[in-house]
Amino acid sequence: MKKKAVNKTVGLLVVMALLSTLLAACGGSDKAEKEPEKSGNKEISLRVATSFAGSDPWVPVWTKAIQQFQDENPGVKIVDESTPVNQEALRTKVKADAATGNLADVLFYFNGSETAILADSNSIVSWEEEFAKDPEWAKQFNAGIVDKVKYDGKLYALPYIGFYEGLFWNKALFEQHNLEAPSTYEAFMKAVDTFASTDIIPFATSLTTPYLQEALILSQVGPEGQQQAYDPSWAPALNIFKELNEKNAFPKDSLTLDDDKAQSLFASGKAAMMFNGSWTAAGLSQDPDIQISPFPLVPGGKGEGVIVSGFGSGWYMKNSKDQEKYDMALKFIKFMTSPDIAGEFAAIGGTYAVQTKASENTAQLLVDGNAMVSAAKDFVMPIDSYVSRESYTQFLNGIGYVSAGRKTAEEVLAEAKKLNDKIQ
Amino acid sequence: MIFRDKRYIVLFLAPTILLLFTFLLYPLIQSVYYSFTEWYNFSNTKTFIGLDNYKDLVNDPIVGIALKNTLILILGAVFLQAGGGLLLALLTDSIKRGFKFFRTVFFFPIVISGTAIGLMFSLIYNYDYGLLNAIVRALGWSEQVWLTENSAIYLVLVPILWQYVGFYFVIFLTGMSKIPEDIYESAVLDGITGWRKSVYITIPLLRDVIASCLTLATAGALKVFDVVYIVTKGGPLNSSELLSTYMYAKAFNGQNAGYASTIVIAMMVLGIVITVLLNRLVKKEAVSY
Repeated sequence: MKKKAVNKTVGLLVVMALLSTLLAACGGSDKAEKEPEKSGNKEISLRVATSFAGSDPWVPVWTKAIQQFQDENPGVKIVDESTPVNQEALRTKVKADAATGNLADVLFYFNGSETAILADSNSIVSWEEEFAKDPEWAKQFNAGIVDKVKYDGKLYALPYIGFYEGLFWNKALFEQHNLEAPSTYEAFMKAVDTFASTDIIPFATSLTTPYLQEALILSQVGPEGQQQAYDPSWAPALNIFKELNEKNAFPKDSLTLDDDKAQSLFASGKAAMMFNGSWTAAGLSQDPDIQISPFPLVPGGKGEGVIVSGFGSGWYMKNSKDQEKYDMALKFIKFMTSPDIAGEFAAIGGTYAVQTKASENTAQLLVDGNAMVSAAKDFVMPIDSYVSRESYTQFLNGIGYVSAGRKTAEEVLAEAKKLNDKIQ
Repeated sequence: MIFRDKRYIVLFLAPTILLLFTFLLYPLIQSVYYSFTEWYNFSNTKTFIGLDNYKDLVNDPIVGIALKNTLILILGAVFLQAGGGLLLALLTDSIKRGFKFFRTVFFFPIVISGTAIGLMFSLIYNYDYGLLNAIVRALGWSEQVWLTENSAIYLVLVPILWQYVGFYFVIFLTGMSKIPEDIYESAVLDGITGWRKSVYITIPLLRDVIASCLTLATAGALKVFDVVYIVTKGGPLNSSELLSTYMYAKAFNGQNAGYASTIVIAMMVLGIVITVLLNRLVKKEAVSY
């Protein structure tokens, strides 16, 4: 009996040891969070998840800003969990974090339909109260933009870097071929025909990326029509893809090319035009021949003078129960949105919802991009900001099928609409 | 003996069972449940929808393409990967010099990550900057778009086969080293030579190893993801889509984890069916020397 009891005890101890090892491993992050506690002085660890990672042009400024904040605030450790937006890595991370109650303390993340997911988790701050406490800070934000990015009447994502999409074109190549600037559809198509007969690729794009379809649809149906997700009125815009493909406007491998390679075709002068976002402008701004203009109005189009532009991301803050952590996260966001730091971000590119300290080094292409935004009659957010991800990926995939003549535009729109209606 | 006490068996098995349950069985059971739900955006809201995802799966044309491609991959893995490994092992085993050199060279691709191999081959196939078109240009021929709807699945097969052929090569080589030398000596006395030695002695005596390799190659083909995702992302026009890449696209690009779980279950069922069939096909009495 005694032996049996000893065996039982030994067995129980071994199982408990195994379980505790397993549980300790699972609870690793909690321990890590508590680790910075130092005797006497409490060190605060802030988890920050943004899109400033990988090949993002703002990475150097972001890294420098984090270092500066840590230097100015000894005892604060910024845990940078920034993830590239490519392949939806950031979306997946943030959504998984939100679902498991493990959201970072500070986020620079998409707004629009994504705000709903974070707001539903009840773990993020709505900024009205903080704006009321610090009106001087609140004043730095453009009130019109702040109103536009509210969700359900509340401000969850503080607008910061805005983006625009435009038609980049290589002036030197246009001049070499005696072509007019592609400011009208006729001039654009003439340029396509002319370059297609040379060894210059007329238009650098991947048929798996969203930018050109954004431009064509907006130009075709205008801002109101663009809000009617996957409406059959979008079909003529998609058919232009087929027409352009048949005119050999795109790189020959545009169905498998990725956006980085399409950009490099344009940047290296192998392609004459490209439609892309302001985030690419910084890299292109070294070349004085690169120009930017709005996409021309397609025949019968309703989107004259309207561009895809807006504030697709913003600063979110977790509603931390730990007051010290809450205050430090707030301090960090105020630091990042200060005119000095915002000015450094602005020198890389984009339009800003906060006051920025003027930089003397802003490149001409970036100045021209901002001038294009100022001259625009209206702005719309991209289609993917208000439709379901699944429907949007189906829609993007369908553009290749339309271009190759394998599906009609109407079929592709109907397939995407069916998926979108499932969760609307 | 102390191990006659069954409690110790339970005790020593506990860590494995615990880990298997936590990291394999529990997620698997969860995936089965998720496959019957509508679950978007990795949110906490999941709605039970019965067999709807399975009905969508049956009617999804891309699943048909992915199944066909997965079967092409399995055939490629069985005949070219395992078969190629066997052929290389037979050739290497018969040489008198350079055995170690070839063993290292054939095994080397295994140690390179699939992502790196994928990136390398995506650069090889690239239209503007690719190696193949550079060679074609140097020869004065016209450049080609290599990754087309018809060719993509076969071209992504090349790096996958190249990467794993060395794995089977090493297994076969190890199997051959276990065959007693006196069998060959007796056969030589009976006048056997060259390829007959391989066909009538080596291959029959490797039957157990071949059976294991066939199962490994089939299971491995069902798990392929990285190389295909890097080289083609399942394109162009879904022509090189595999169940694994389609599942990834649905889960992470489309954020539809419910339907992605249904694809996972389909992959699992397919894997079990093929493995069982294969095991029955090659099941014979064990070879003993």
